[in-house]
Amino acid sequence: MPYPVAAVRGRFAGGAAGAGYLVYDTFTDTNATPLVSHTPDTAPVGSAWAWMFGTGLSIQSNSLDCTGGTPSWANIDSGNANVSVKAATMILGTYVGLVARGTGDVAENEGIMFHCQTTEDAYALFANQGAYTEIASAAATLTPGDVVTNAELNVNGTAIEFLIDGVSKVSATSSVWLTQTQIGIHGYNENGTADWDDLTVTAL
Amino acid sequence: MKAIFLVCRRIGDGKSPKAAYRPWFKEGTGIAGWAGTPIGDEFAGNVFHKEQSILDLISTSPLTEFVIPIEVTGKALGWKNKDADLPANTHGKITSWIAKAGLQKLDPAFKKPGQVAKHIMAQVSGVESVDPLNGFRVHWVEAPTMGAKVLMAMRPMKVKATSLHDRINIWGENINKRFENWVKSLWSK
Repeated sequence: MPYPVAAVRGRFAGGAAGAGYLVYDTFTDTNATPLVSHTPDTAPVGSAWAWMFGTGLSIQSNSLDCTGGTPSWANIDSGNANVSVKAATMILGTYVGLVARGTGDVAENEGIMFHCQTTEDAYALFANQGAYTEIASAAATLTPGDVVTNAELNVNGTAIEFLIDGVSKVSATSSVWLTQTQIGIHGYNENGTADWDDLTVTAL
Repeated sequence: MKAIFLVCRRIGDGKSPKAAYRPWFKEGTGIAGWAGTPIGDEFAGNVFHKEQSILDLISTSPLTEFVIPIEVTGKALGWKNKDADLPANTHGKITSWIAKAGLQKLDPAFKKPGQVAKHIMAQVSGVESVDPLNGFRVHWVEAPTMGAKVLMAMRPMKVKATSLHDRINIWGENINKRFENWVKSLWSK
């Protein structure tokens, strides 16, 4: 990846504070704050981060790191089922991803998921109903530490698509979880390399 | 870019991303891209690769039940390529048929795919003792776009279609057309 971390991290921070977003989180907080103890910049009233699996997601240097857990997964309710979930920057570890259409059922592994998989050199989409179920993938050369900008998981009706900087990388269709409104952050077998920053959720 | 539509064996236990339920060809074939839908213990979907030899390898594997070659123009991957042409029946090597037309039209006693296949084959061939499978493998497929389960009978590409297959036209419906429309509906979503 051509982007040094320092050059891209925080590029989103100059925008209006959450205007137009269902969820907006710059992950600005005290180091080591667990994600579920952190309040996003913008979120629906009463909506808060909650663990689905593990507890390895925490704030570090005003971004979100994953320091372990198989997996570490937290959701927050966006209030909308058809959404674009975007991380302005995402640093790859082993299985770094985003979630949409999460049900909020703890430890049930439910939702539409995207991963950058460095161990398989692939972008992959999942429609999980209690188990990891891969529904699409596309080959890519991915290395831990790579910085991906504008990593975007879109779910709209049955259409599912992952894009980087607006360019489609992998897409699929699924009728699994059409009405669920939670979005999430997911990391698997991470050792601290994985990182997300400037998360926005927009209605589609 | 070359592509096939296929139904194939599923692998994995779903307990981790690496061991996710996925089509068998995900491992070791160098596949550039695929997208599909899990159906029971199998996957139905599209596979893409620039080398026809890789697709041939997948097509002829015993882990792959059924294949339709698809000509893809352009570089787009996935289900979004609405301009991709499905092959016409005359050159698509479609060695399968679907019997659906509403399960209510079938005798309620027919609960198993093999029984239904036997009934259909007997109907269309006029031979009561016809081999119900006749080289086809049969199973049920969930097809929401058709409103019900579908009986899909399929045979590998490497097996030549029989004249019986060519004659299949159940209850006045054009089965091949229905099949093509079904696949097209999946493709265009």
